[in-house]
Amino acid sequence: MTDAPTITAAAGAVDATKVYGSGDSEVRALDGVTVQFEAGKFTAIMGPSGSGKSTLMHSLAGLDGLTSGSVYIGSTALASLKDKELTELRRREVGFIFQAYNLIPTLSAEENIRLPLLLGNSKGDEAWINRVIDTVGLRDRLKHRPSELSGGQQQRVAVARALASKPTIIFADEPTGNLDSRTGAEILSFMRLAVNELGQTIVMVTHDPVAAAYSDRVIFLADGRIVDELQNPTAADVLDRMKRFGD
Amino acid sequence: MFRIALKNVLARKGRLLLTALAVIASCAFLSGVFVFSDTVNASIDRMFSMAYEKTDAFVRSSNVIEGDFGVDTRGRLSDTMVAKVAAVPGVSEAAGDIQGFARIATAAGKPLGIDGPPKYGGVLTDSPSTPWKIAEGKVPQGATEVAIDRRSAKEGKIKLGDSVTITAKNGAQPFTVVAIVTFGSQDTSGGATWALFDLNTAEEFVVGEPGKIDSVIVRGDGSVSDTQLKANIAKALEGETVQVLTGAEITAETQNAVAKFFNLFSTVLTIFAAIALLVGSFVIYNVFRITSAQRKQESALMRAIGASRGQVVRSLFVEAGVVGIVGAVLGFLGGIVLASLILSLLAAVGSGPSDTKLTISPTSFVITFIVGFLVTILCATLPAIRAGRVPPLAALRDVSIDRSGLSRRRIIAGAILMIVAVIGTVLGLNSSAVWLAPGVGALFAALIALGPIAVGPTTRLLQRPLSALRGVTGEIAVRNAARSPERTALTAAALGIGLALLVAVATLGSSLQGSIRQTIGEQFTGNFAISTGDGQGFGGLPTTLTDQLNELPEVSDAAGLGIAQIRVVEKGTPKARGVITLDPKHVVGLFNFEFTQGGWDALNNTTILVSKDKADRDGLTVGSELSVSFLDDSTQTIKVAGIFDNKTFGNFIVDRALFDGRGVSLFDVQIFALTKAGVSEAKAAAAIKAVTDKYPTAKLQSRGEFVQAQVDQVSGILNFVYALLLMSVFIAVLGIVLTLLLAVFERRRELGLMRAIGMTRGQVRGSIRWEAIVTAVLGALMGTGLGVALGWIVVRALKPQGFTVFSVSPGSILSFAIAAVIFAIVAAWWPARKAAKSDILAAISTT
Ligand SMILES: Nc1ncnc2c1ncn2[C@@H]1O[C@H](COP(=O)(O)OP(=O)(O)O)[C@@H](O)[C@H]1O
Ligand SMILES: [Mg+2]
Repeated sequence: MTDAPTITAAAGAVDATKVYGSGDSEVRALDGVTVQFEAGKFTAIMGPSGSGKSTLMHSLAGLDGLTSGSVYIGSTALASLKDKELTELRRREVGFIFQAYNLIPTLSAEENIRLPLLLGNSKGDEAWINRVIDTVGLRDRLKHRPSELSGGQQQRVAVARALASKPTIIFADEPTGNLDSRTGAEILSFMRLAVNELGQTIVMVTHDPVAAAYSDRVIFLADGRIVDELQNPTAADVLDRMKRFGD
Repeated sequence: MFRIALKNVLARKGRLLLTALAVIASCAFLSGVFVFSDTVNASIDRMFSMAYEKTDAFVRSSNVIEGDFGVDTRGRLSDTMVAKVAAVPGVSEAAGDIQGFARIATAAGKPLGIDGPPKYGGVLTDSPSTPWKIAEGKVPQGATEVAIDRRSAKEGKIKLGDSVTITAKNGAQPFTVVAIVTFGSQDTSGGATWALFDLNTAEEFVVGEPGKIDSVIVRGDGSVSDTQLKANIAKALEGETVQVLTGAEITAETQNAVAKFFNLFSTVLTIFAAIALLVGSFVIYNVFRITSAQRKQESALMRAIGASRGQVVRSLFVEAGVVGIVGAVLGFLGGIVLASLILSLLAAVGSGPSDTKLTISPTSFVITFIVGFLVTILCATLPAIRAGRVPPLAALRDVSIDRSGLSRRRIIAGAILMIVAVIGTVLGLNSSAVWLAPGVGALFAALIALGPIAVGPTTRLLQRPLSALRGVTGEIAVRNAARSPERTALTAAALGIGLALLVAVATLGSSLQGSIRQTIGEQFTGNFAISTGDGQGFGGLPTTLTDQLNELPEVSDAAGLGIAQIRVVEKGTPKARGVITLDPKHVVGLFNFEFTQGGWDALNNTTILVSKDKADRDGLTVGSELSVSFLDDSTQTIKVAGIFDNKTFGNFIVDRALFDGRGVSLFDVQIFALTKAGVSEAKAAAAIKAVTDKYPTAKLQSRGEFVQAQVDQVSGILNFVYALLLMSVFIAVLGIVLTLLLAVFERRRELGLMRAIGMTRGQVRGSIRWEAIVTAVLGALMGTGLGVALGWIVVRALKPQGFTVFSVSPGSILSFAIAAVIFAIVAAWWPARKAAKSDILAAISTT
């Protein structure tokens, strides 16, 4: 559990601890988490509400600092970075898919997809972007504004955006939480596809055992600690484990 | 319901203050003007109550000609009157006093005193009734001694025993300073300069007529009341053309006269504060629009749980009421701070009252409060009604794109207003000027109606260069500016109105300058002009200067122009009229203007020249007779000798000899000179300079310099008006700050999102800054268009008053536009900072 980071890990945390408040009201959102996310793999993080899933993801993505311990993306330790370097790292190395409000309402679907690249003033890999757009099936919706897209289409744009800059790792926080099960399944298939065919690394926080079943590996969190993990899970396996932790 | 609404407002003090900021600023300017005016008025009162504090009665000539702005010219008294008054029972002391023009200059020739306040010559005695206190030295005696006020002494670094040159009616002469005096505890009275002599010297030198004084200052022996004293004196002087006043009466009169002049200035200030309030009302309205739109969900929720439409509307009015009250009260306090800042600033540069004890009257509070409160409620009305229309099941969308700006109704309304504006203007310029008011009003309204429609094209225009220049940051800025056109347009319109007035004033100014250049260029055909930097209407250059110039062999003619007041009987009643005085023997070749009848030749001390306008109005022709009267009560019938077609010379021109022996101190305000044929201009200039050097106040200018100086005078006025319009621009800029802040608040989620996916803080700041710039550019475009249109209308309307040239000043317009952009960048600073600090995690968390 305390292995040093290896080359194959896209991201990881070593003894990550995050404490909110102090004294009586102290909450240990993360309590010494050490974990690695292998490149080219789809990892799901599960756990009851309040177990620290989002906190872990936010610290891994450089959106929030730790109280102690360290996180790294690729071979870069995030703690040493200034805000600007951290931002640029997120732009280049990290893709995000959130539960909702993923898109900038004033920009078209295509502009939203290219936004991280545009922000970095880089052209990106045009062939790759085209492939991503085709993979998520958005070719005929590129000029639409987010308000003109359905919830599922919006999430597909978000997936495409996360993929567009060929990031080292993609973080998804309940990406299907706001979707009906059919549209959710569609999004999850795209994510699976991105890992299998495009070689991406994805870390996804989810509540849903069916969603977790799309992953290669499930990590279970409880009270800010990793309590278990599963390789190549099925929905039934996951449900079984969840029952054990009393979600 | 009322209590819930009130609680709701007070729970969010930050937003309340933000909403109130525009009200605060608008009210601060208004109350600032009030407090400033009241304070200056009170200090004027204090100062002039001091001048006659120890005076029990005051005797002066009853012969007076009312001038403009309450500046009357009054006849003089014989100094034998002093002895007559002294003999009246109840009088313990009577002293002759003089208050004429005298300008002090240092030995090196530097004239003292600031522009505006008068430069007085008077009398200093050792009588206990004088308001003057000798700080150093002794009472002046004889023809070479003078006492000067301490302000002038400080300005010119003058010490006792120094020599100064003083210019008054009788020319320019050297004097020795034997005393430095203070007015009570102040360095001088009313910012004026004072040169004080003994009575005989003042008669001789300041009045220019030995034996003449302006007034008799009387001190009673305490045996009778002031009213009784006045009656005693009046009885003793029966039959003389004198007027007797008590000390209290002359004090009140002086206070009123100065206050009247100052009130004119306060009125101007108030008008500009009102313009700022108008601009402010745009900002206030916009702020209410935005906040009530942002609370759409809250309003919908209230409706859903059973609040009636009226209750929703009322709760918004409660908020507006609180904003109005808080804004007006804080604004009033802000105005006090503003007024005291300006007063200390003025005191620091040496003008304005030196005792700056603030006078805060209840009236100014009441007016500020009522105006601020009503404007706020009025601005909140439409947004409140709109909030009431929110259906209970309003979509709980997070951010909606406001498309209210683009309705057909708006285009139609704008077009109609535009047509009204054109019709009003055409009618106004061609038939009656009253049509201009609705015309110009409709023009402004059209701007406001059509503004949102202009947002689309303008932003599209800016999109390309901006995204080329700033990449996606610029792109996002442009999109954000365009996302709620009405909001952006209102913010831009507030700035646009401020800029429009600036541009209109600049256009007016440059047209006036062009007209001056043209008119003076055509009409003044001499080579030289001798001016005094100051003293229009009061004092000027001694006429002896003109006479000396005419004696020079290098000069063919020198015409000195003065201004005087006479009474002219028109339609049976005597009317006070200003006339231009000159010496008709010396005008040849100096002025080029047409006479429709008669000419210079027949002008002498029994005739008068009348302008064509006046002659047409009153049916005068050459040979018509006019009955005129003078300050010494003498009357004379004079004949019209010519009718001239010119607007710069007023309505009447007379020979200055007409005033000989009538107790009037004539000065020349302006002298024009023509070189004798065959004499080089350089040689003539040297000869003239040798004469003018003896008069420190005289400024010799070539023709070109003179024309330029007239043009520059306009610039001075323009700068003053620009400074006043800055109030409006300030509020418009505040409008940008508020709209952006509210937008940042509204977009906190997408800002957080953009930060998460890789937008740096710098890029966030940049996008906000560029959004502000886009708004400013829009405002500048509106302002320029409207301003030039407005300027054109006014110039056309004033054509008969001498605006012969219409000229736009591209330099000024460009600098206003650049200033607007710079202000916008400054305005964006705070919102940009807030946006850059936006909390990423809060933005992306769903709960
Ligand atoms: N900003 C915060 N301040 C205080 N406590 C927080 C904050 N964010 C999260 N927490 C607490 O940390 C714990 C973990 O939260 P979170 O990571 O959001 O859990 P999960 O995503 O698994 O539901 C919870 O107990 C939560 O209440
Ligand atoms: Mg969570």
